[in-house]
Amino acid sequence: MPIGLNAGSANIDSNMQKKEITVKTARLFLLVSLVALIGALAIGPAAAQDDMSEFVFAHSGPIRPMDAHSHWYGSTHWMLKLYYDCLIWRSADGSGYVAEAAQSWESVDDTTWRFHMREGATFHNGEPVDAAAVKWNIDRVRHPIGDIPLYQQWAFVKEVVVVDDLTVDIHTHEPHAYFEYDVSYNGCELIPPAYFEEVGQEEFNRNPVGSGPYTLVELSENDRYVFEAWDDYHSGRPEVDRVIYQVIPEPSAQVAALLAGQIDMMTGVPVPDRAALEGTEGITLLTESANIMHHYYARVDTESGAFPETFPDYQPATLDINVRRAITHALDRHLLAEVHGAASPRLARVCSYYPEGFADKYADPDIIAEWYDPDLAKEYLAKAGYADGEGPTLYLDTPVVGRGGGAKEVAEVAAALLEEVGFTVDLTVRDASAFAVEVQRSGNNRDLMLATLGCGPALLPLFYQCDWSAVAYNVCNEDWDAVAQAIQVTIDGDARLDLWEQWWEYYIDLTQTITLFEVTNVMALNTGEFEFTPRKDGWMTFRELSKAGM
Amino acid sequence: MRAFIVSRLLQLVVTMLIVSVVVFFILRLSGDPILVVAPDFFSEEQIEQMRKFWGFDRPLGEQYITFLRKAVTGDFGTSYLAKRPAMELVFERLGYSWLLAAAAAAIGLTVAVPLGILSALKRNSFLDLLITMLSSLGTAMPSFWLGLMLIIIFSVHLRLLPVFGALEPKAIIMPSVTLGVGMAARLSRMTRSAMLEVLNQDYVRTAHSKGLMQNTVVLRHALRNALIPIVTVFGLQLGWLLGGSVVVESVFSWPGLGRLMIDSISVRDNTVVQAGLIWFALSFILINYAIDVIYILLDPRIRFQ
Amino acid sequence: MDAQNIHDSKLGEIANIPERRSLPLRLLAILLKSPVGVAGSLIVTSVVILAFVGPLISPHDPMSRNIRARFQPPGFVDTKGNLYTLGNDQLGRDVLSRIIAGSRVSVLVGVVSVLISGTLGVIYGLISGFIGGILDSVLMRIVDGLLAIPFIILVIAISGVVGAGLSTLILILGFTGWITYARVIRGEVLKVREMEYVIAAYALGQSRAKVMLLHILPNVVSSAIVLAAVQVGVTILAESSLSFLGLGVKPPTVTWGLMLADGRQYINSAWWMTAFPGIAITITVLGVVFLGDWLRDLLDPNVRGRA
Repeated sequence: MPIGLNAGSANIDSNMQKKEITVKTARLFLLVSLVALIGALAIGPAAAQDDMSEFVFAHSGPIRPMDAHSHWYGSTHWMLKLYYDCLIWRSADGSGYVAEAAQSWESVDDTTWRFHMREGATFHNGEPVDAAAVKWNIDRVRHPIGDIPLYQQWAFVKEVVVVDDLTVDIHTHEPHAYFEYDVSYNGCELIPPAYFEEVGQEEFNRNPVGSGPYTLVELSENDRYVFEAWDDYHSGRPEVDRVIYQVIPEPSAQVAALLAGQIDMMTGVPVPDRAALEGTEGITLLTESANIMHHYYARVDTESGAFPETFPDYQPATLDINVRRAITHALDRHLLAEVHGAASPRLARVCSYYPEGFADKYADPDIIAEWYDPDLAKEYLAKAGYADGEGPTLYLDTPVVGRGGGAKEVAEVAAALLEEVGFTVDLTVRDASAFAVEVQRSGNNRDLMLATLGCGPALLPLFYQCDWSAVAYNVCNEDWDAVAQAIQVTIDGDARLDLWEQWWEYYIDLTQTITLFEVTNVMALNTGEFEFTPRKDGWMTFRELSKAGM
Repeated sequence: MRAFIVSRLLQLVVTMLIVSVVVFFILRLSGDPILVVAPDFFSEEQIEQMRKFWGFDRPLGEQYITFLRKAVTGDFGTSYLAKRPAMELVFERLGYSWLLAAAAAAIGLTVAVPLGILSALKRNSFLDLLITMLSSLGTAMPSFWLGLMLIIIFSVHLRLLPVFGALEPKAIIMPSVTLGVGMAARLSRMTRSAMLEVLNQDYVRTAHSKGLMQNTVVLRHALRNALIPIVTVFGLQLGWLLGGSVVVESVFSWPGLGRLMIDSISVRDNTVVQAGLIWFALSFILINYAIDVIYILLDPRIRFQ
Repeated sequence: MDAQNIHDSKLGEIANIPERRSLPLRLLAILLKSPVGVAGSLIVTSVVILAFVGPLISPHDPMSRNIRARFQPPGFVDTKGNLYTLGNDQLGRDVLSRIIAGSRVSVLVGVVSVLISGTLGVIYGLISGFIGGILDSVLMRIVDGLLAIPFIILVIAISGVVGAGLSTLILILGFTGWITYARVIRGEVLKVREMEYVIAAYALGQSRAKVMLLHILPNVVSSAIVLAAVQVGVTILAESSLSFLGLGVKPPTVTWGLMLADGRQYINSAWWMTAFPGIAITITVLGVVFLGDWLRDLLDPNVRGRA
């Protein structure tokens, strides 16, 4: 790339140039290039060669800091779960919760939960994992310290009380229906109080200390993280000696690396590569819910976010509920899922393995196939006052990729489907950060925008309540609110499911969120050497990894 | 000589000041990055809290002064996302980028200079045409595309070279070749025309007429004089090399500064982007400064302004 | 460029061609003497024509999808007997038709942003060189500062922050590219301004503005044209790099860089999605490079090889 023709201000006197310039220049040049060449080929860390079993997982990145309380990035917490224990955690099969740092736990009354810690358990540096440490940790995450931002997600905690060395009580403000879910939410990871207070956050991020089954032996920020099994873990040393998270952003590079034996596992295998991988000896494809769903959010108000300033005179067609109903019936979810390449069509926004998702109703392929009804969509458009084939213009905003991938391709096909029933679609595709700043976070959704979200039930009712302050959900409905309130304080599981059933009726009817599909994670594993059962919650963490044939 | 060095140093400071202004204000064109950094479910209150913590609630001018005051002491702020000093992250990656740039420059030099000379000596021959064609091709090819094609051939089909990372010595081959080809192409074009110009000069013709052998003429007279423009272009090409490394590192998942920049830009981790940009600029300026100084050391007869 | 220089350059050859031919014909005669010039102009002309008449000769609609025929290799024939010469992409769209459609963006980006940057750069260099003094020093320090940040990194940083679409990208490339011209043009101005005829113009009492526009500007334009030719290639490459990195033009606009970005994901199984758009870029830029080489030899022997 030409930068400029004479940026250096050496002005060579042309008369002088006729004389020779010393031969040193030529030698220097040759020397420099030789040294560089030899250096380049010789240096470079050699790969570890020893008998330890080593599992390399290709992480698409980015990976965030080791201080687990300071961020919410799910895919970083996957990795942190190797290194940190929480009090309790979701079991791999999604059926309940398992003890980690706590040996056992019980509900004392509607608003008190008691945890019994393990005797003699320590962090990697020898600090005790006791009641005081638990109190310090939970108090840290539930208060705003610096820009540590998770405190509102822990606002259900009223107080943490140390009962004795190994017993700690957590009091909640009111009965908290999803206590176990929330107490194992991001930020639940226990870090050693004394060490942290001694070294501070920056140094902690360089040299973290946890109490999980693996210790960190090498850290290259957002590039490569090498973990080794910890001999003293309270529940026994894990089976695989070394687990490495290697950041490789491109799926195609991950596939090539897997075929070349550089890595042992990847997620999100691209469609055309699946056959080739499946046909390779020692590699097996696994599928499980990625716990991500794609939805289109419809604009239902003109007040929230930056919308009133950005588009002062714009009247979204989607303010009309009949337009929104036309949209939901115009979308062929089976087709969209096929375009995505790894997805199952859905109507409701909770993943199908949760009982709250009512898979028999909202994940049933036949019901969803019938839901796609262009004629019905046209009827709704007619009800909204649009003549046949003359539907309103919809602005559709989407990121290029989106969590779970394929956002752009899906949007292109969705636009075509909407145009088939009479809409005119103006599709804008942005890269992830531009999409976040210009559309999503600023509340500048004009008619429809993509939302790619996790699919747990715990926080969901909260999002649709009238007093929820984040933008884009403002389809305030008093009756729906009452159901949502009730869900959050109902501890009894069956009674809560009845409430959920009602909740979905509102969700479907009001059509603020148009659910498209649940993303399936297509993984490829080196089954020649390792055995792994994907977790129901979609977390790529490898505590339960084992060697093949053992 | 001393006056020259001092005045160039002063220029350097002024230039860096301008760089800092450009870098700082460009990164704030779209406001603060909190909206990207904060997760979906955050409330206005939480976002305001983060904004305050990072000082984005202060006037822009004040933010710049704070930035500058800290920057001169080497403190470029903390990465919003990694929660570690931005310069530390930059330095962590620097070694890899230098390694890659050095390997690419070595390839560029060892391939380009001889080819350029050959091309000039055999002007208008078939060989000249071939070299010119190849070097034009090298300039025209998008480097990232060349990288992808190399991956298809050497990693996917032949399984000879690793796809990503810098974990073994042979991992540097594909990225450095990808980066080196563009440089070699530009440099050989430059060498050719510099040589042609020198070959047409009176003193070379004189040397010829004195009956000196062709090779001696080329090496002793022409090449030495052609070196000056070649060195200048080499210095400028390093800028291209640094720029190219951004794209190439991202193709090969090479853990260098370029990939850090792309990763940070895409999530608007502005402190890291700032530190990286300033570092790019500083190394570019220093290298060209060093080249200027080398000129005088080698040949005091060169007049400087 | 003074009279002496004009005779040194090939432009002088115009004078040697019989006067009875018109100027375009004489230029054509010169062009035909240079194989590089012929190749370059042939390539560039075909790409420009392709950009204009693309929709007329495109075998398929570049946007039309066929989900059930995606990732089909080159030479694929669908059930209706339609041929997909260069294969299909991830939505079953015809790669050849998309390459044809993409030529439009390359031409647009190349030409428009170079026009912007060339105009800005010439004005900047003209002012800096002509007025001189402190202003010159200040302006040149600014150029130094901007030059110190590698062009592509500067563009990446800006478009990463501003978020680019086609028009934004053209503006960004236009408003960063001028730096390249500023220095060269200033250097040329410094040379020309000492020429006898310029001094003579002053002596005749012409105003500074008039001298600048009538005597200096025309003499630096040829350098600007040579540089512009190089910059068109650089700009086309920059657009493709940016779109490839996801920081440039956004779909549904079709560009070669975006096609590469799409193809990259499927490179292990669907090489045609990456190979052909890359070849299209390479050939186009090659044409521009050839044309630039030829123009340089023709117009401006002084800048030979510097870029």
